[in-house]
Amino acid sequence: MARMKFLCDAERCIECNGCVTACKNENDIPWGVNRRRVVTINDGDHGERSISVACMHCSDAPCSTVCPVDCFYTTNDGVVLHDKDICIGCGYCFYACPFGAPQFPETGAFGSRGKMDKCTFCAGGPEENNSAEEHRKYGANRLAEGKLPLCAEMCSTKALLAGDGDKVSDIFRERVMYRGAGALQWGWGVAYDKQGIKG
Amino acid sequence: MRNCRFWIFLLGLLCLPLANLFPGAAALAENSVPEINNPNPGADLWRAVRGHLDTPATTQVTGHDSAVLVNPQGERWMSTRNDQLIPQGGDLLLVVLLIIVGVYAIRGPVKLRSGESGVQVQRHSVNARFVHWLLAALFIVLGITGLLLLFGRPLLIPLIGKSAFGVAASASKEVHNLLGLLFPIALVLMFFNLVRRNLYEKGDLTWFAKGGGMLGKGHASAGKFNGGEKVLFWLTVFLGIGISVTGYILDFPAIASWIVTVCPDFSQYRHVMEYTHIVHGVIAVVFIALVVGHIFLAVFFVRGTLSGMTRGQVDANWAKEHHDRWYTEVQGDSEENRAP
Ligand code: HEM
Ligand code: SF4
Ligand code: SF4
Repeated sequence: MARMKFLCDAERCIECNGCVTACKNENDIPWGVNRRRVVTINDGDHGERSISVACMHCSDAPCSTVCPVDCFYTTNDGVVLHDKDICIGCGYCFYACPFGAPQFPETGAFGSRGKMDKCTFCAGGPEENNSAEEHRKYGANRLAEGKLPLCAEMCSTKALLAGDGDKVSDIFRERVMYRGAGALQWGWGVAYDKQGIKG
Repeated sequence: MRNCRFWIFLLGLLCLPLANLFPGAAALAENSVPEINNPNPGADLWRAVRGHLDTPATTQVTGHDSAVLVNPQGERWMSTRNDQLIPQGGDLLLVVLLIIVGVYAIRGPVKLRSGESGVQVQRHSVNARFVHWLLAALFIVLGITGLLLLFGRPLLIPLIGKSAFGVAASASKEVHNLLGLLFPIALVLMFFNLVRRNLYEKGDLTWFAKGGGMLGKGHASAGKFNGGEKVLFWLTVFLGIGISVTGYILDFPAIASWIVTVCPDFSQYRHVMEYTHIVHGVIAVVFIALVVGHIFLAVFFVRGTLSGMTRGQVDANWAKEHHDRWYTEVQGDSEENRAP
């Protein structure tokens, strides 16, 4: 089985925000929610770098560990999804996630949190594939149609790669071989300094 | 840490005048080789990635902490909650229950030595009882709904399944978040209602020395409230303030965003929420342990106590045996009242 991965090549990303727009459009994401964002470091300065980030679909995902109602599940493709029927919008996954991926539409009084929304790797949710119900809650399910996430498909510089982890690494390794150092592959294992987890 | 820096700074300031005494020192500093300033751009990049905001990071997205790529502190919160708060909090509550059952099994309930007299003494006014039960009701509902969020996943999901628990947890969260807002109001009412009789009085320490009557011979003399009840009062006040302040921050994320802007110790909204959440949880567990003890003593252990909070009256013998100084006081009052 494929193990799906995102990888953003910081040597290529030009902060066009095309991925952000593609994601919002493809998944009909509510106001105030951005499943993907581009962060620029040292903007306009020496050593400027941009990285596009969304849910990294961690193995042994921290969000899933802290969820008080245990509503996350990992698909056979290694995609981390959650069940909005069970989610209570407590926000704990946002505290635990190293990448700030979980998002909350502001519903109700005092800006209280609604149910969590995050990147699904364009793989929908627990409902029947590509049903209206699934689209309403989770957006597109491109994976079920044999397509990859639209953010990466539309990336103008092919900085953002999505797909089978082995293939993505191969492409990236090839690039690094051509252009030298600057390997910026990262996941929560790197973020939390966990040996052995490349997630 | 910050304190420490402050003192070092102060010490440095105090030492400044001394510098004039050692002109050689300044010359030495001037002659020393200048530090090589050659930062590694890669290291800078990764510092920024991990949310150390001295390297500027920006994003078009406006959300909480959106400009931070990696939040390593999330793991600390995760392990504190999952590996400490949940198991150790559970242990604490279990130990308290075991102690209670043990004490009850060994000592049995404390009954009136001289039996009931049949004469009733007025103990708590309608106002006092209303305030007490308001606070108690809020506490019980908040405690149960809160514990459900904390222990539901390990304890209830295996029993009732995820969907049913999801419904219960969702209701719990709504009830907890709304009723929590009323808790401080009840707390303030309770404080003003009872504070006058909960100040330190002579004899409170002796009450403790006698273990509240459990140690040594003879009765432990007490006023309207004994030493233990006064400790309960003040712990309730301070734990109550702590749980209300943290609860309000959790309820209104805007407060957390504001704290980030005014308090340089916090660089991220998430960090405020993480600290607040842990403090709230720890106080909650300690508070619940305390109140479980209180309920045990008042309802099951010291017989004759409960009616003071339900009907408002207690048996005269109960008053004599447990609150002798208060008893003489109210007897004095009623005799004064009676004598025209
Ligand atoms: C007797 C008083 C209280 C107790 C025993 C209590 C207990 C708890 C517990 C155990 C949790 C769950 C922690 C977890 O799941 O990790 C919690 C969460 C919370 N409490 Fe309380 N609490 C009390 C009072 C309050 C008050 C006064 C407020 C608000 C003013 C409040 C607001 C909250 C909020 C907002 C959460 C987070 C819930 C969520 O996001 O789902 N609590 N509380
Ligand atoms: S990136 Fe965050 S939301 Fe996505 S799987 Fe990892 S911890 Fe969960
Ligand atoms: S917000 Fe929803 S998904 Fe996230 S931890 Fe809470 S219940 Fe789980």
